[in-house]
Amino acid sequence: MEEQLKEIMGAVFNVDPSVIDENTAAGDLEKWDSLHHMNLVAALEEAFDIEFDEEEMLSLMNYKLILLTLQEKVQS
Amino acid sequence: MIYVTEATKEDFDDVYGLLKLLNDTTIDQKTWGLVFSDVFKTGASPGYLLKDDEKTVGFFGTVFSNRIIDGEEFRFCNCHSWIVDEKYRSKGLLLLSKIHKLKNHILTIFSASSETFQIYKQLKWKEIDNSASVFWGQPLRFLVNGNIQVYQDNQNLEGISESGIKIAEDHKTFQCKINTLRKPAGSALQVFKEVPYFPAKLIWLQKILPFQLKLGHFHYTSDPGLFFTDFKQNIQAICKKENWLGVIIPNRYIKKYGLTEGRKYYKKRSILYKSDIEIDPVLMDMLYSEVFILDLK
Repeated sequence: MEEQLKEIMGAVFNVDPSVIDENTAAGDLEKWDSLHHMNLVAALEEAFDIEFDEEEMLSLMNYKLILLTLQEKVQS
Repeated sequence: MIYVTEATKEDFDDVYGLLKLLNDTTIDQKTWGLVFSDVFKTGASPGYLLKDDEKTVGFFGTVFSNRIIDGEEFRFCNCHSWIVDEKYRSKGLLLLSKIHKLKNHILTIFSASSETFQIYKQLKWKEIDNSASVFWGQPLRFLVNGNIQVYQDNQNLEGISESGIKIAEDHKTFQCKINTLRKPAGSALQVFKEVPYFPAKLIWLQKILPFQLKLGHFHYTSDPGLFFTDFKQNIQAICKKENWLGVIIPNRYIKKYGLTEGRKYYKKRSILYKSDIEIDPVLMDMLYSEVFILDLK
């Protein structure tokens, strides 16, 4: 899951997935603005066949939190 | 530290620098100032600020209003002017999350850019059909039904509901046309915005005409039952009084009140809303919003 998440983030934010690590947060990637953030949400929903509620969508502001939320969603 | 806080009217000078980035040169500083001057006297904040310590790096404009619709009270929050300094774009959603936390409010947006439109749609904001139709006024104006009287501005508000009178009072200072339709069955107050109109094929003629041709864009009526009954007669009377060629009516009203569609009219402005309260989207209008405060066409 971690590798897939990095791949998706890399594709959405147009960076090499290897630059994404557990400390990556919204301010670290140049393209991580509101629009790209929502594109990431949509890409994750499609890739993992899940749905975020609106509060989750707006709070997924760093890699760790995204991974944690994804793991919870996929397990449930 | 980056945080979000409520804006006050004292923040205008800071925010104006950001508003200029919206690139709308048609709106001057004085007009933008109206957004911060509590024009509807609600005492509510003009919006939210994104701050980096003391520096203002983002703004999200709000216009709050309490409306009585169909006898029920609703609290609206019209959202406009979401602008964030480029260096802080990753934090722009912090402003939006403040709005999303408002409970028992109907949130509306009338001026989303194509980019923010996508964001709102993904956040499950609903879109209202904003297509519209033009209904032409009677060219032979003397044929207007004599039982229908039209009064301009706030000249004669007899028979108008309390909420209708409040709307007339609240909007009388803006660039709009307020009129009262009086028929034997009762009275209804309308709010329109005037829009210039000229057929594209005859645009050359516009330059030599000593006057401008106009349409009235319908925004509100205090009594839909009265206004949309014998609709063609009503708009003929209104067009005669206001000297309009016709009126533009959003198709959502046309469908709801069973009117035959007029000539299609395309509006670029989308309507988005989000609400934890049940409301008929037809009842949503652009009053108490930047469309009136900033005189957006």
